[in-house]
Amino acid sequence: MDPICGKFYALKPKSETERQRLKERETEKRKQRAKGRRRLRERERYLFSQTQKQIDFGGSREVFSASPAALQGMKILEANAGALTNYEVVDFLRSKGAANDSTRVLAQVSPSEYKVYDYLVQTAACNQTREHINDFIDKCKIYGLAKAEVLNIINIRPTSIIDIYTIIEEGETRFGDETRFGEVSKELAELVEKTLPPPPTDPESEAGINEGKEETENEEHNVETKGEEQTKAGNDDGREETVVGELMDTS
Amino acid sequence: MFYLSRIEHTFRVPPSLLNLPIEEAIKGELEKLFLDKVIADLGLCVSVYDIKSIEGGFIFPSDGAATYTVVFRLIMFRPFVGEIIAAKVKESNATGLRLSIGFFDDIYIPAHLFPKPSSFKPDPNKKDKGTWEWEYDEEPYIIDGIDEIKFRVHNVSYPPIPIEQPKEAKPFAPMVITFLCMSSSVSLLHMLGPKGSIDEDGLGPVSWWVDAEETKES
Repeated sequence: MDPICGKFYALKPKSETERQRLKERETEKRKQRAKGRRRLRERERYLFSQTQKQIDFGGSREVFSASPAALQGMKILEANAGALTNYEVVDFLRSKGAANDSTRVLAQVSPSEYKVYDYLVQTAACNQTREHINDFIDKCKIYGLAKAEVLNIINIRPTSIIDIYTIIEEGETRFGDETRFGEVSKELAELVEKTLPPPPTDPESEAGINEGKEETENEEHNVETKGEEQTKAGNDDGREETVVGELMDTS
Repeated sequence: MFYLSRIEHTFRVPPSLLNLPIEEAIKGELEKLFLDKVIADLGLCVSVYDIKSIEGGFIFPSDGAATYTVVFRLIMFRPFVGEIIAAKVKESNATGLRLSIGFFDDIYIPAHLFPKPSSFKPDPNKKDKGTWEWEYDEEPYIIDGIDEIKFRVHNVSYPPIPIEQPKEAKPFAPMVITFLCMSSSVSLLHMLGPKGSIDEDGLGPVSWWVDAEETKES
């Protein structure tokens, strides 16, 4: 009888290599059994604590690792496979069937996705298209902005110098001095105004947006309806020549 | 604000879904598992973007369901530090401000990250709530709940799940974002550019900055 595991082996004489192999197999099995027992113990402890105390999430968010069975087998291959602009998320949700009207019940979009859609539709991302964004990215390459800054600008659509000032870090050192940075921010603000479409005019955000419009030169007479956006487009064409002229001068 | 994350997961698809085409069944299961849940260090899962590959489909003994190994991409909401987000005020009390963006509510501005000097005026009616004010040029600017407020992300933290929780504790938030209401460096009080003047970073309620610029121009 083998002293290690108590099995009966055949009485045929074993060679050295065979005995080695058998021993290795035995130790492997023992390790596996010990690992299994350890895992079982941990799982039991976790499940036990879950059942004993109620964890109050306050209805705000469920944590993914609620059940260890669901967690097992999940591997994160690439935590950051690419940043998405707000426009891309809105586009994706729209292609899934999200819309503003009463077709909500029919679409395959879940309520939590709808909350995201509702939030994004109020931002500047609602009216953007891929062409606008590509256009803006090409035109702002000359300033050498970081990717995060470009992303911020596309998502927020800053139209005043102050907004651009917040987004760009250490603008004074990067662009030489304060006055130069002031000019650059002004150019960027005009570029944003020209290339990216304005956010939707909500009754809530009307005050903010229209006061923002009043700051820019040609639009002091604008009042809050959609018709104004068309006149704004008309104004834009008139301004385009002056903006291009400015860019030519500074280059 | 949003990132794509590629994840591989092995899970079982219940036999009740066997009549559906396999992609639909797997997508449904993934949405049930991941949607609207927080994954540590990845963020809040907003949506399943696409499925890259499906493997497996084995049925293990004494189980009626097939098990698949799926590689897919999720849209995660995870703001980076330094990002600027427009949000609405949800709650305002002595420890700070709490904001919400519709789908995510656990955004806090603690009292020390407010612009200096700021003060808290407690509401005479309710004990805990109140309004925060910023004093600049001897004029108080109030953070009221009316317009949207722009904030810069200061920190994103994922507190670990508590095994025990005392009864009086706040509801547990798996992902907490703290915001900076304004840059506190006073050195930004500069005149920038020939036409306008910029006092400080343009953070805070939109109406503060718009009013300021109008008074300068007039």
